[in-house]
Amino acid sequence: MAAYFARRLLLMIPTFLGVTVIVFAITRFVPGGPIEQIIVRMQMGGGRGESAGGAGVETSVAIPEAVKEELKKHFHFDKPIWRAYLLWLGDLLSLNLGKSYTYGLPVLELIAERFPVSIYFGLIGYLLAYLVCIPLGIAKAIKHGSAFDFASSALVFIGYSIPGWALGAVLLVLFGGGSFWNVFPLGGFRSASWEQLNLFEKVIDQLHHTILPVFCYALGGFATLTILTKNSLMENLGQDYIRTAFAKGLSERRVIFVHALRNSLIPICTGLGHAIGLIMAGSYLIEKVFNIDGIGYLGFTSINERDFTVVMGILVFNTLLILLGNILSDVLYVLTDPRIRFQ
Amino acid sequence: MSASSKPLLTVRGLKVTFPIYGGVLRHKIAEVRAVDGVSFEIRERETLGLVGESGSGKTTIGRALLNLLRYLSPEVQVEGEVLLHHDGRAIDLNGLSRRALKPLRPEMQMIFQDPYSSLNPRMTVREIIERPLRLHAGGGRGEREKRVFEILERVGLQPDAAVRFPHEFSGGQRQRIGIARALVTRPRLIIADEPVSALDVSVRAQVVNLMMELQKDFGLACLFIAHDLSVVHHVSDRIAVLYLGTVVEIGTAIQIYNEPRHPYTRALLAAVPSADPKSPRLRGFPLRGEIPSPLKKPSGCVFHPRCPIAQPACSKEAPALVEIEAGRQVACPYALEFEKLSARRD
Amino acid sequence: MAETAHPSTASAAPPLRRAPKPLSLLRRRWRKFRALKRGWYSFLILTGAYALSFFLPVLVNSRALIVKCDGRYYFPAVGKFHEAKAFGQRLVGEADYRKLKRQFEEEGRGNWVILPPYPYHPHESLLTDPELPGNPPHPPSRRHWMGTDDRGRDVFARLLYGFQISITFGIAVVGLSYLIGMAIGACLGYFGGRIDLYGQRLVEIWSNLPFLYIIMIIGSLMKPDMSILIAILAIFSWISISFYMRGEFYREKSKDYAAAAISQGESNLSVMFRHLLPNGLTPVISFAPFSLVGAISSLVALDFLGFGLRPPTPSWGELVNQGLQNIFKWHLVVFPLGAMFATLLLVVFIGEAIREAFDPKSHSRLR
Ligand SMILES: Nc1ncnc2c1ncn2[C@@H]1O[C@H](COP(=O)(O)OP(=O)(O)OP(=O)(O)O)[C@@H](O)[C@H]1O
Ligand SMILES: [Mg+2]
Repeated sequence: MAAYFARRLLLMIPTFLGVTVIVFAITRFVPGGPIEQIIVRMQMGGGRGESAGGAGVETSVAIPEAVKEELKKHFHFDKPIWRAYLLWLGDLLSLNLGKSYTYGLPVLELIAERFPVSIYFGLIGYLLAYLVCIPLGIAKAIKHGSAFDFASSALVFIGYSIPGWALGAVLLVLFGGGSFWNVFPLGGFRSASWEQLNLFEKVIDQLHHTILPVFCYALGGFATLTILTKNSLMENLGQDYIRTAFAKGLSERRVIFVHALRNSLIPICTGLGHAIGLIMAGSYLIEKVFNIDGIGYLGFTSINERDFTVVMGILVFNTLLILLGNILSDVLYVLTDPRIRFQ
Repeated sequence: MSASSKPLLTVRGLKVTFPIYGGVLRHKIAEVRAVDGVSFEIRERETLGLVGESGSGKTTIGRALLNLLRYLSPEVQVEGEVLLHHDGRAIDLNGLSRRALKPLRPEMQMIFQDPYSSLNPRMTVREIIERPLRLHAGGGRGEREKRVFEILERVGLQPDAAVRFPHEFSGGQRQRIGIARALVTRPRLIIADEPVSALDVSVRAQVVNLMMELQKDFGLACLFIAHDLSVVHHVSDRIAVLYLGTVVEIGTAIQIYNEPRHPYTRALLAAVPSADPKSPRLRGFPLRGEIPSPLKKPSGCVFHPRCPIAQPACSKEAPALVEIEAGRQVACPYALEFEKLSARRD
Repeated sequence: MAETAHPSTASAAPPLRRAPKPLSLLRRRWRKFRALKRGWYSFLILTGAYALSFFLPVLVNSRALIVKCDGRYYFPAVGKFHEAKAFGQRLVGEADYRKLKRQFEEEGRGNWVILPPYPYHPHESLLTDPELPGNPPHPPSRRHWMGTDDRGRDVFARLLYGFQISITFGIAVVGLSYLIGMAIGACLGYFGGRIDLYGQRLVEIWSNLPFLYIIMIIGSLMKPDMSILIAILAIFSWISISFYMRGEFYREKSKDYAAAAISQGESNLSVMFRHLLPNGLTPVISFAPFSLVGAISSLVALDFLGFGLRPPTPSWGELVNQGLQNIFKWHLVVFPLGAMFATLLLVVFIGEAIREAFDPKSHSRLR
């Protein structure tokens, strides 16, 4: 067991290195990468006013000369890639993710500021999903084949066919005060007038901004979670030890809730670790829909602004979260399933 | 059983080692020596029975002879010689490349234990049987078809079986298909890995009789693998007894069955239900304990922890196979004193 | 399963020539699939719609189907480009066939124009159309069923062409990613040993990449065209199928029929493709529809973020992005997302039925 976790932790290192090498290589070798953009701009005349006369639709943002220098220094474009990567990695290990040129702030600070916002919506959303899906899955398993099972399956099909962010967009035009109802704000984390509100109003305001995005996050996991709960419970109810429990005369309630459920929840618990990766992935879309200034939106804007220090910083952060989530999943697995003995 | 004395396949010092991986870095932490220095010979048109408990390495030997291990587990180590006597030459099959091996493939074929997994469920019976012919220049389309229907008839299946899929057949019928597939290239040696142990008792005799009949008609040699002596002694000319990867006794079927010498062979024989309770042959004794894990093989003679006549020396040195009478070799220096030693112990 | 429908003994069967052709496993599953009505009808609807979408140039197009002008016939919708001058229109560039139709009708000289049923092209800006006053995006109207987008292009036309592009794109991504994943998974499972050990580590690294984010980065740097975007998405989505393939090959390889094939002298490739692959296809077939759902929604998401297909490709996601710029333009959000939802729902129904047909015991279904 200890060896297993030691191995997982050790494996994080090559995985992390591998991931960053891949992206580092992408930013350098993909045509149109930062270095090429700079060259193109330089060829087009001193790097000033280059967007004029170009394809007007493209949202390329001019990069000031000083920033280019900063960028060059940060990515070590003048050196061979392996050296550049090692230098970048060295900076990373000393927790220096560089400085954003659009915000003029250290990347770490930007991330630290926005991560709580993202995790606030994401986590509440996933918790909500768990709160709804587990009972729903149980009910579906117990009443398998009933009208209820059938009707709720319709919801599952719908949930599977519509991504959370897409539903968010629809809800926003319906309830965001456009052509229909004005029930919810247009997005954002809080109202602009947050500071002037009293406590009660603050709570209401926060709730008001929370409901739609959280609903979208919850929808993201809804279909799979419900089905996972149902199927794993049904599988367990078909197992021998459950039949034995019934045969021993234990009440149905007790059998289902104590014996079968405990084992059925194992795969669902383990999923919690992976939720963090899913939350991050969802945030790129949902935060754009709702204009929430979280990490996903920061990533989106930095990519558009070619703010590569931020882009790489978020990549590192996101990858670390995924890796930690995987380990968390394993830990949860061990904690919940006494049968598991990792090799 | 009209065995000649010309050797067909000679196995010398066959050793098979599987590495076991584990630990933090998934490195090799142990080895399983599944077959440990096995030597025997199969003569033309002869049936050699290979008997041993589960895990003794029977299947591994069969696969090693066909050079299948390398493909099943790439990290395996196979040492020793597997000499196929072919056109007056002896070719060492072990270590031969796949390409070099290919022309020799039709000479040796295998019949598998599990008739359910040994036939490709997506192929019709005809495709299954015809495939080896295609691979080994089995003539034109018409010629191949003729041979497929010929062999189907020989194994007792209707011609319309050809267009069906394996799932439509019973276990016994499937095993017949497996036999047909093995025989269609006219091999000289068949390795039959427990060909009937997965079948219903009621059809075992049919399949065994079919095999014996075909063997005679086709002039085949056969390595007949089984986990007990009950079937083997009927079909075999000679029998080799395997324990934890080593041959402990080898002799003619009559010798082994009527007069077992090695304590382990005696024990195996005790497990065979006798048809004639008054038969005068010597009964063995029941085995004590479990077969040890091949990961932790006992030192010296691998059988000594379970042996009723184990001597202090047995745990120190592994006994070699010694010829104690014409055609019989035993790997136990005390084999001839069994009665005396076991009586003393009682 | 249908197994019981066939005689299980060879001896009881009629002679060769009259024997009913036995059904392969695939055929039996296909029958089962057809028996599952919801999935089967979804399949018919979706494939029908997709097939129909190849006729969009004659159904939804600004170019006329047939023009009769001064005794000559022209077929602009399927034929070549005709300048406005050819029909006596005083315009630069291509003829305006809707205008031409009115013009001919007014002239009454026996010239006529047959327009497609819905005479608008997805790339065509209607800003100069005299029949469409006001600023884009226009709300839905009799002429423009779903209104226009912010450049005055007909939303309904873009939606339909977007359907074809989405499905084509999705199928291509799933096809390519399955090809990659199957090849990698098959090699790992088949060869095992060290290849498997190290291969799995690499796959693990790959599977820990934040895909969406990286695709966003690449998308912004490269401004990829359709084939490159397909390749990028495929390169990042082969992981899960490679796991399944690895497992399948690992399991199938250990069965005796594989050993039999080797002992007959089959080559590795032949064992892999002729013997093992047909037996390991179940997960591929039963997961493909769900991967298609993933691929299509990824495309819509990327287009929405602005890192997808190049403009002016008709795209659902791009419409949604426009719609969210202005909260009152609900038609730019609701219609494309409705189209996506309907499409994905059909695919999910198909996938569910396929799963049931292929894997009747498994609990891994959506119901
Ligand atoms: N691929 C492998 N990797 C590691 N160990 C193996 C492998 N194949 C076989 N072994 C080991 O080799 C030993 C012999 O196995 P083998 O299958 O040859 O036994 P057997 O005599 O055929 O048994 P059975 O009667 O159960 O078929 C067993 O202990 C087994 O664990
Ligand atoms: Mg065996």
